Amino acid sequence: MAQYAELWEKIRAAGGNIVTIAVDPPERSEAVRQQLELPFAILCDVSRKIVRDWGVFEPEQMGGIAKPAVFIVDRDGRVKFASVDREAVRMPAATVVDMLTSSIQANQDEVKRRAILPRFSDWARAIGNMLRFGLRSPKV
Amino acid sequence: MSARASLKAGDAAPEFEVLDSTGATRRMSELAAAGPVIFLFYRGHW
Repeated sequence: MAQYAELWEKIRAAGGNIVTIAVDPPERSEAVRQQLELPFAILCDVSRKIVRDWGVFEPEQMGGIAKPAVFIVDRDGRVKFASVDREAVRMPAATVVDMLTSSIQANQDEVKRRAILPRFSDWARAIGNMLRFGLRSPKV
Repeated sequence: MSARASLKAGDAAPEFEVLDSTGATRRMSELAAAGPVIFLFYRGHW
């Protein structure tokens, strides 16, 4: 979590966010958050509903805890990237954050592309009109 | 209850409404809508 805390500014600057989730009660998680000076929220899944729904519940351990896991969820609510257990633990925070920022960049490029395309169709229509009706100069 | 398989890329992230450590209510849909989000699950301190 400390690794991610160091990358907080980069995540926010790119327009992304990070939240952590554990099954600990709020007092416990808030103590951790303040002790480690974490800039992001810790969600308190005391009922274990989220860990069950997301399939990262570890029922054998201490009344059931979360498996270590990393998910990137896009604006549309879809999982863009998933990593669970040992793979998630070994995943460097910088790699995950790079995936987040490049995904944001790809989305922005897509938005720009869509913004440019209508202009192309305007041009095509203008040229089509010109071919059909000839060039008209504005009458003064 | 059998353990569910963990979410995979392309799955819809299940909605939730839960308190954060400061007592504020957080919803998955609101978090995601504000920009892509890294959800980091950790084992915790029990």
